[in-house]
Amino acid sequence: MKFFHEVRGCSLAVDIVARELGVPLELIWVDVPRKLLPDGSDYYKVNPKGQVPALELPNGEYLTEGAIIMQYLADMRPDSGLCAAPGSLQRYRILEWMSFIASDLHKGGFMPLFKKTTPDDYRPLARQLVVSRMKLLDEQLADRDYLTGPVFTIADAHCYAIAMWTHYHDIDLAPWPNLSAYLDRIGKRPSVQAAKAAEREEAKRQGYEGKV
Amino acid sequence: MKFFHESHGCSLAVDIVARELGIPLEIVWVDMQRKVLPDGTDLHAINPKGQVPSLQLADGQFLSEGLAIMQYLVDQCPDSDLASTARGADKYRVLEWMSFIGSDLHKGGFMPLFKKTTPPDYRPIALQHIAGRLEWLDRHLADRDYLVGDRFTIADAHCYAIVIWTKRHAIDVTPWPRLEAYMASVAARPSVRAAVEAQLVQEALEAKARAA
Repeated sequence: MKFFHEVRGCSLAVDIVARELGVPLELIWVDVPRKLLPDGSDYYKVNPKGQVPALELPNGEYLTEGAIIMQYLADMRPDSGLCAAPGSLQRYRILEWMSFIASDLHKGGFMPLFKKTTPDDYRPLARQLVVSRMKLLDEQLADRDYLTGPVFTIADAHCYAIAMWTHYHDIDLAPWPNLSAYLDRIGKRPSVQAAKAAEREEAKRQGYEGKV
Repeated sequence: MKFFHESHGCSLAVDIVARELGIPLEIVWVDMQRKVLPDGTDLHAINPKGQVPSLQLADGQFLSEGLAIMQYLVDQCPDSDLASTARGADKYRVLEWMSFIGSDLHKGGFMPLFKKTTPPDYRPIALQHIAGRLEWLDRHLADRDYLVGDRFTIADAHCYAIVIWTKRHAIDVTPWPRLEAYMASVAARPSVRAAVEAQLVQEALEAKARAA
């Protein structure tokens, strides 16, 4: 399946999940600022919202929203253990975490820090919001290895991709030892190492000089 | 089931869905200014995120995040009209919309407008983000009456509860006539009328208590 991806995006989470599941994806790196595909065609035709990620489904339609793409992929392999069965409490906990990660951590947290148009007097507020969410994550991880308990799920792949943005914005993780240990633990997974390697290779190909 | 609600919030969407499904909820109105329950308990005791909505399940646990709660409720009624889309072939489309609404429209869109700490020079940027998202909604609704498929779904309940905030922030929706018509059509549903009325009654009670 074609997967529309970008360097330093939350789409990393989807690539991690696909590798965990053994679902092969054809990575297509999108020029997000110019909304162009490698062949020069218009990315808005894939996603009218102009955002990455997107997944091309077998019927030719495109599915967007990282949290939902990850559920779709995991449901292709219900025995993987990466996402609990629909209707189970564990499944609702996964939905609950991913809703929070997408809304409070990503769009309501880090997003203003990424945007060049964010005024300087808003940045400290945005940072403070991110810091309060990292503290919450740290507290939640005090008594468990992963967000929903002892097992790594798609919620953790999602959380990893977003929480690692602390590095891009020079937010020190030292105040949050549980979160720090959690991110280190996930970072060692072969799927994560492979997904990061693919991302760094593309960054190098693009001549991108910032942190990846 | 106890449902932790507030007079101004996106929790409206959950009440709409419960009324559509005929699931009786025991509404517990939370004082969101002081983050306390009616009996004086700290909201953080039932939701460490200090947010509403939250639903208390049969086993006593609390489920948060509107998207997860609405999916949970619709799963309790598998033969309902709402379930036919939310549990059918279009289930990922329903979730895709709700992920977008919760992240880009709510936390990445309207949230800064609600916060008193948001500096004045950020407001035009926040309004621009919102306008972009409402424009996208308007285009999507050009040739359809509902967000997904041919009938009202939990995604429409969610969308209504967020887009109605345009009234609260004096955002003129006449540039988006299809969206305006959609909102009017959803507003006319008995479940929506009843849920909105419940919030208005509570808001009036709170205003009276503050004045006393």
